[in-house]
Amino acid sequence: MTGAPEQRNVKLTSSEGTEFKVERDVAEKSVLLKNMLEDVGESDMAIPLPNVTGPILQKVIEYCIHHRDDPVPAHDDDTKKTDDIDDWDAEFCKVDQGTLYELILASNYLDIKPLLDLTCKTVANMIKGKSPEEIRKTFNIANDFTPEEEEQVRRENEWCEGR
Amino acid sequence: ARPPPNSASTTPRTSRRFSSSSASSFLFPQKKHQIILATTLPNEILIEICSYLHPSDLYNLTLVCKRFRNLLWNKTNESTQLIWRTSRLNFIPHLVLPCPDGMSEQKYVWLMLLLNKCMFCEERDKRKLSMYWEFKMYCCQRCLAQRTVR
Repeated sequence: MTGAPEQRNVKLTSSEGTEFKVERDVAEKSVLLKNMLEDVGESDMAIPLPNVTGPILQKVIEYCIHHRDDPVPAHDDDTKKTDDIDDWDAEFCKVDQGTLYELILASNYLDIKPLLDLTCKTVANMIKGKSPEEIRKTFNIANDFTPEEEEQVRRENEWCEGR
Repeated sequence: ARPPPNSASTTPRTSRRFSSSSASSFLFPQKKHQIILATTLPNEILIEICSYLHPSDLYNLTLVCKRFRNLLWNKTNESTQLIWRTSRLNFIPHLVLPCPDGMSEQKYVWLMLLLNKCMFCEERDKRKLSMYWEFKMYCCQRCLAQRTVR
C-alpha cells in the first residue's frame, strides 16, 4: 500500500498554526489520526493539533517516516526491556529533557505506541541504577523533604513501613 | 480577531515560512512552558516510565521527592500496587506467586529481594535465614524462637 500513486496527503496544523503535509500512511502511525481519517474520509481540511507545537510535530513526523514500514505491534507483545533501542532511535532521542517530555506527551496524545514506548524507555534508562541524589541531579528535582521528613522516609524505607 | 471564514481551507499557507526559527521564537518566547519530570508530567506517564524500572529503582524513586513518594509508597492505592506488581513480574520472574493477602507489593518485594539479612538482627548467613509466611517474617532461627511460642 505504501507509495501507492494515488495516496493522498494529509494536512496537520500545529498549535501555533504551522501546516505540515504528510502522506496518509505516515499520519496513520498515529492511532488518533487513523481513526479521525477513517471517520472523516477524504478531505482537504487540515487537522488541527492544538496540543503539539511545530518543532515537536516535525520530530514526530520524522519518527513516523522512518518507521512507516514497521509492522503494527501485536497487543500482547508488551516487553519491558530497555536495552533493545536501535541506533536510529537512540540518536532520535538525543534531545534536551524538555523536548523529550514534549515528545512523550505528543506521542501519548497522538496515540503512537512505539514512540511512547521509546521515549519512556529513554527516561527510564536515565533513572536506572541511580541513587535518589543522582536522580535529583539528573532531572533537576528539588528535594522537598524537610530534614525531619527525610529522616522519617529513610527509616520507613529501611523497614518498608508507613502508609 | 477572527480569521476570515474561508481562511482555514483555502489560504495556501506554506509551512516553510511559518516554521522558520524566527517565527517560532516570536510565537513561543523561550521556555514558556518548560516541562519538568517531577512536577508537570502527568501520573499516567510516570506510571508508564515506572513500568520499565526494577523494584530497586522504584525504591530509590520513593526517596527523591514528595510527589514520587505519594505516587509510589501508598500501600493500598490500586495504581501504586499495579506499578510494583508490573515491576516485580517483569524483573523478578521467579516471584510469580501473588502477593500474600494483606501484604503490600512493596513489602513483598522488600522481604523477598531487597532484605538480605534477618529482620531483627544482623545475621546475614543465608543458611540460617528463612521466610516464615505465617508471621510475615524473614529472619534467623534464633530470632524466630525468641518471637514465637510453640
